[in-house]
Amino acid sequence: MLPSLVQDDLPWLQSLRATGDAQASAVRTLRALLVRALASALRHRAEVDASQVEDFAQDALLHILRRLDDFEGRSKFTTWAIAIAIDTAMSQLRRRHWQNISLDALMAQGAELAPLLHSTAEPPDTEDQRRLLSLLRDSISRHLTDRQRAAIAGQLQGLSVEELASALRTTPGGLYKLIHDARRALKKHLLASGITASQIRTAFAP
Amino acid sequence: MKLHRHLHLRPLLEAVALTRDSEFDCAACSRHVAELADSLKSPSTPLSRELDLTRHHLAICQQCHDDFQMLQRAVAGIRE
Ligand SMILES: [Zn+2]
Repeated sequence: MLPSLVQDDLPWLQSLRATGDAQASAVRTLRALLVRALASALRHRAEVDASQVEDFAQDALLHILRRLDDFEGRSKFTTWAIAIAIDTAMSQLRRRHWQNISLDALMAQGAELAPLLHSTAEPPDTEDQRRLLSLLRDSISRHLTDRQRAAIAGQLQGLSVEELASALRTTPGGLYKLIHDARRALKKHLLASGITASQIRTAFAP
Repeated sequence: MKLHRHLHLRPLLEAVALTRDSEFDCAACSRHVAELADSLKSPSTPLSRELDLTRHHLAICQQCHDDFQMLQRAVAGIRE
């Protein structure tokens, strides 16, 4: 534990906005805190070494210093700063794993979505499961657009939000709306068929 | 890239079941994750509407959920 790293918010902001030695000292302390935080957060990722953690911390530090006016005091300053650091690091790591999927490939995946739900990892055992799966496939085929099917297929494949949005030539916000509208349509039609939200959630639960 | 032959149904069904008419998207969620992480340290305190929407988004969005778990681990890490 480094008590000096976990101080009250006011001294952080005052020190980081100061000039001279006071600011330099606060920046060094914040940087050390970010390195420690990122090392904890990323310790399960074998591809990230100590020098990369240092680089992520440095990038995050610049973001944080540019955004000091955005801090509204709704959380501890350190938690806010660490959240920015995680976002900075994960954005860079996700970009490294981009597969540059084309729009055509994604749309082709979307077209396969409903048929593929036949051969799922959780094959239906009971009559309730078979009925839910059949209704879901039917709803996907009849009530979703091609782009919604493509977005859900990409999401089920584990594509990142940014990569999927880029492939679909939209923004992350636009992608969220596309998938949200799709989920709402699926839920509406499943509920209208007499299936409850609880049944949807638990039908294939272990 | 070819679509996997085995698609896990459960995440889709879970997200459909939890779907609300009004939700936070990833950007709105990211504006509140720090506050949520601090709030969850005292679980007896009721969550504000914004933090409830943030927690709901984390239940729907795997990417934000993973990042939030990292945030919690990191916050704990600076106190070790
Ligand atoms: Zn999200």
